Amino acid sequence: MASPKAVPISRDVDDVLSTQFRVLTEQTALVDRSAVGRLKITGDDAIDLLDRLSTNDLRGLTVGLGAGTVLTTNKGRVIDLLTVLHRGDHLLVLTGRGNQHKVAEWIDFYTFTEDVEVQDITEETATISVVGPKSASAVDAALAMDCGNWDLFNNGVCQTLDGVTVVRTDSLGVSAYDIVTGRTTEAEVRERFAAIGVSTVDPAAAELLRIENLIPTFGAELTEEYNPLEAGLLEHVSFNKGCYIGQEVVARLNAYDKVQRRLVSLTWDSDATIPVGASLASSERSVGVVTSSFNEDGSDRRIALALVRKSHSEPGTTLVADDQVDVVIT
Amino acid sequence: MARVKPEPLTISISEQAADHVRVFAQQAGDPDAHLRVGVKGGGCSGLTYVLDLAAEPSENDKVIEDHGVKLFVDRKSYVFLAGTTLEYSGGLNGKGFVFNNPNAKTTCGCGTSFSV
Repeated sequence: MASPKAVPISRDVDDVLSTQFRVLTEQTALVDRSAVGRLKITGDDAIDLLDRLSTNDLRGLTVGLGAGTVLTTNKGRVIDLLTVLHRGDHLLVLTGRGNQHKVAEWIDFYTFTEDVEVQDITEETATISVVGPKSASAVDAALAMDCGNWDLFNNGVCQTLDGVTVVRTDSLGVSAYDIVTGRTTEAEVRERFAAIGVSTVDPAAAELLRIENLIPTFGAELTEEYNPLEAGLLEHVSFNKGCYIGQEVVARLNAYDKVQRRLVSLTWDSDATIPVGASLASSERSVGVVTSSFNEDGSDRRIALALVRKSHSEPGTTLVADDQVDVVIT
Repeated sequence: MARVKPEPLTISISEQAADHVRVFAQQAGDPDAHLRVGVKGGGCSGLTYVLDLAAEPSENDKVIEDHGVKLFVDRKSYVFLAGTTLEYSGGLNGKGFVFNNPNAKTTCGCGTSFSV
């Protein structure tokens, strides 16, 4: 087997991906996130219900504030990470990619006599992320919204373009603002950013940034296979808010230090492709699985995310992927 | 052999629990109040029992009378409570009102939350 050696991502290759990656990490660019689900939730009991169903404390939300919160099963497994934004007369909720139907059904199942109505607005809206260290000034220049001092999940509406909501999400692990806009105003939003020199990057560049920054995403790391603490969602879990679905399990895992797996990033120095689902072993014993992998054609990037047993999750640990390739936890 | 028609599933309240409903109604200053019984989302296991005093049923509530107490149950909660007996566990170590719910597959540690 090849000797393990951590290989840093090359950023100096003169190709489209490298250029776009550099823009995301040094300037700012747009990333299309329209596949993310969008729900509009109205009713006097909306916050109370979502608070009872998810991990974070939502009870203090007021207009312009928001929070990340995790829907969990009664066994404490992840259904989805939601971004909940208080928009005054309604909550705007962002779900995982394509997961809006399941989230809406989940909320509906647990709605009894509460005043809550869920409307799926995914088709009639779009989400564009402005990503990068200069994203705040770009939003200010394009939409006349001074959001440079916003905390995470602070949100507001654009006064110069109807139906446009902006929220700070830092969704790829760097400064980022999500713009939720109606389909009819989407082109105008894009034109405004194009006019100040902010272009749209390929999804591959955004995916590379996500993986490099150890950001879990729905369908890969955020599934019912894992609990929020394993999936790296600790910041979205309140341990003193009281009961929610799955709370007993999540609280016990935390209190007794029983979290079994950790989200880690991997790299390797061979030309091998490590697919999602590859098993990771140590001394021929399975200790984890690859959940995201960057395998762009022609790219020399070799980076992946994996959920591995805590005992084998220290940086520098060498594991064997699919009985063939040595990989190193970075 | 003649077929025995099964009794329809309903929600019942024990005599002791009914007595305590009357005591609580008296203490609340509304001796004629009845009991709203329901379920809401939340709690460790997914669903949580709800009890409240109520003067009148809401529209579409099922109304069940047992041991002199009317139970008002919304239709959706009824699906999860059919067959339940509401009892009362008194004394220093008692739990107060207790739901003996045949639909509950699991119940959380505190006993107020269940899953189906």
